[in-house]
This record gives sequence, structure tokens and C-alpha cells, in this order.
Amino acid sequence: MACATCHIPEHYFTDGRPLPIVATNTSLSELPTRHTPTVVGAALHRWQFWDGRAESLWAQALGPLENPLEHNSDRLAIVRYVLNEYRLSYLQAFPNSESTLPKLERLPEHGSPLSHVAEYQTNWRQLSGEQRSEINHVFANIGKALAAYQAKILPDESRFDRFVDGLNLPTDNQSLSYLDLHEQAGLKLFISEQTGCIQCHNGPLFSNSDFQATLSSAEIIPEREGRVAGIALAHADPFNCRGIYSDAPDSCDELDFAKVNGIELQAAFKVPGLRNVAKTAPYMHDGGFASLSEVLRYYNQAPMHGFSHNELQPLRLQPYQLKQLESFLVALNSELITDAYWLTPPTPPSQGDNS
Amino acid sequence: MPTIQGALGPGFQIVILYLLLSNAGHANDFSYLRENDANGNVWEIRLATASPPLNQIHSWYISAFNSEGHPLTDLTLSISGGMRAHGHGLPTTPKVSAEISPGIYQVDGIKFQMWGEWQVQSELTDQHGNTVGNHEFEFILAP
Repeated sequence: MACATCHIPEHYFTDGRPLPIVATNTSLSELPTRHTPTVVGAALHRWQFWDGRAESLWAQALGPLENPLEHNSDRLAIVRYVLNEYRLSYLQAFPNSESTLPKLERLPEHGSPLSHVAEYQTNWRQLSGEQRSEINHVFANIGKALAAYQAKILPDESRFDRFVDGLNLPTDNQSLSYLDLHEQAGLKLFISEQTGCIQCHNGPLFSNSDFQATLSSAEIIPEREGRVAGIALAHADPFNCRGIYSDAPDSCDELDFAKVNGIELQAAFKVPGLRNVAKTAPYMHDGGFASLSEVLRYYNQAPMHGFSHNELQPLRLQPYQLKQLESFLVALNSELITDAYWLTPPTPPSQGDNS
Repeated sequence: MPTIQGALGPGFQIVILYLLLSNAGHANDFSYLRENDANGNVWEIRLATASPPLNQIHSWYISAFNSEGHPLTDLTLSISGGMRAHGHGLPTTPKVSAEISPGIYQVDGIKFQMWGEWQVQSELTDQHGNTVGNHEFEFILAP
């Protein structure tokens, strides 16, 4: 399994499925419960994962590698693979690190503190503190390399952007043509007090990077899922901003000041960005809605589901207004701004810089 | 063909106008606020920016003086807040880092993640936990 198994470039770096496929070699019987989000623009979000359990993209990148339902690998195997297959590239990206690389020949094949394989956990426990630290440093750097790549995957201008730019540039006589009247009506609804869309979907990505209980799934235990769980995991993560592998341990305001309890954190999931949202069906944290029109219908009705905390208010829009709103969302579509070089699969390592 | 103002203007204007009319007595844009509480204490907020930024952690400097102008000093300031209309609190847990001069307290970690009407409660307590003064600031965060 590769990152691109679920983050498929042709699907705007999503998988087009409600829930992701499971690693074929996993021994777990449980199924994934979270929809695959897009990678496009992910670097601009303050928190990663639907519950915000990682507060950097590099910390996020490490999670799926060891998740038994995703890559189902282990820390030592990943570090071994990268240092065997990409050693030169690694040392170019992280110069002066050669003297602190783990001595792979003295280490077991597998090992991780998080593995569900007892033997791998035992292997990890039997390592010295120095060995664990050396492995973790390389593991963290692998996350930073993955994050550096993902930071290049960004959306280009949409017709909406050209429309707004045109309004700010009176000499652009074409500005109004970038959105048709239907889409302009949708935009007005989007920013209206009645819909409140911009309460959460604000900023350059149309997301405030915060967490909101949409209550779109009744299959959830609010006290244990969502942001309330994610922030606890973020604080416990050795790869967080305050950890010894961080490059900026003195700039951790988001982690330091994040709210850690409160009923609004229960069943609350990250507000997704809306750029190219029309290309990323299905929707919500559990992939529960197949189309944008289903999502909008849900928000229009905003059923209660019996949760004690509910901030959703029915939009009370007419069917034609829902269509206008949807057409505006489609107008947020764009291509990627990313150079084609970064979207072309690399040469397999056996033909590359193997050393 | 609608005019430029006609295309986007009304949407934004409706939002702004609604916010202004719905709470005309409160500040929409401020780097400094000064209000009296029910006991005659004077409370002030100072910001380093022209208005509270959206989605950015920042600091407030909260000052409190009694009705005679003496600073309410050597006390413990606690801060809470949220959007009453939405039923949620602040997205962060602000912390008072220091009383930087008599009666002026630096509060770090304040963040607002939504446009709209916010309330921020300040309370000063003495070493025995008795309330010396409290006040609620209410303001509109608007685009």
C-alpha cells in the first residue's frame, strides 16, 4: 500500500470511496471509520486528521505508516526501507545526519512501540534508548520529507477567485463573467447570515481549521470520538510540536492553547476546505453522503440525532436556493498549481539512487 | 448585466448591515475597548492589531481599575468566553502569563474561529478566591 493507494491524484488525492480499503496483510477484523480526506492544501491546515490528533503535516504522515488498517508497517521496517533504498537522497535532504543514523545491521527487522504484533513491540522494548532515538529521528525525518512533498500540492485559482479579483480591479470588465448569475446567487447565500456557511468555511481554504459537530452520523460515541479524543492524542504524541523531534519547539501556540475538554469537542470533526469540493465525493468524516446535494439537504434540515450539543440550525432554503449554493461550490473547482514534475511517479528505487 | 456593486456588494452588505443593526451598541473593530462594570470598576482591552484577528492565536492586555482610578493589582485574572448564540466556548484555553504592570494583565492564547457575536468574561479574584471584580466584554467580529 502506498500513500497514493488512497490519495489518488486522479481523484484529487482522495479515493472516491466512503471509507478506505484496508491493508490486505492486516490481521485486524475491524474496519476503518474515517473517510479519506484530500491531500491538496493539507499543508495549510493547522490540524491534521479528522479529529486533529496531529498538529503538523509531518506528524500526520507518520500515523498511516504504522496503522494496521492502512500501511500496516512498523517503524523499524520503514526506516530500514528508506535508508536501504534512498540513503543518498535522505542524506542530501538531511545533511550532517550520517553519524547519528541507526546501525541497521545490529537491529531486528521489525519493531515499533505501536505495533499490534507482540513480537515487534518486544523488539522495540529491547532496544536501548539511544537506538530508539536514532530510529525515531529518521522516522520523523521521513514524515518531514512526506510533508514537504505534500506542501507542493496546492489548488490553483478557481473561477471564484478570478471573480473576486475582478471586483477588486475595476479595469477588469470580464470579472462578472467568471461566475454566472446562478453561481453569484449561490455566493450570496454562502456568505449570508441565513446559511452561516462562512462561520466555519472561512479563510483561503474555506475552512477555519477548527472542529465542529455536524452530527451527520448516529454511529458514534460523542464522549470518545472526534476532537475530544484527537486533542488528547495530539498532546500524547512524541512527534508533536513540543517533542524532541520538532524543529520549532518554541512555536507551539496551537498545541499549548488548544482546548482539551468541553462538550463542543465531542463528536466534533475538522472543518474540511471547500476548494474542489465537487471533485471529492463522498463527503463528511465517515463518507456518509454520496453527493453535494445530499450534504446540502442534510444541512437544510439539520436533524438533532439526540446529541446534547448541537450547533446546527436548519438552513430553511428553497430547493432552487440549494441548487444555487451547489453551483457556487462547483465554481470553486480548479486545477492544481503544482508542477507536473511532482505529479509524475518516480523511478522505482531499484533503478534510482540505490546505494 | 448587474453592476460590480450589484453582483457581490449586496451579499456582503447584508452581512455587515445585519451585524451592525443587530447589536449597534457594540464595537465591530477595535484595538482598544474601555467599559465600566456594575461596581464602577473600569476595564480596558488593548490589542496589538487593529481588531481581533480571525483564526489566529493572539494576546490581549486587560487592565482593571477601581472607580477611584487605582489599579486592581496583585490579583488572579481568569478568562473565559464563547459565542452564546452558538452554544460554544472559545476554541482555545487562554492563559494569563503576567501582570506586566500594576493592574495590567497579559492574556495569551486567545483565538476566535468564527465571525459573529462573542462574549469574553474576565474575573479578578484575591488570594482567598474572593471575587474582586468581573466584567463581560461583548463584541462583534465582522469581516
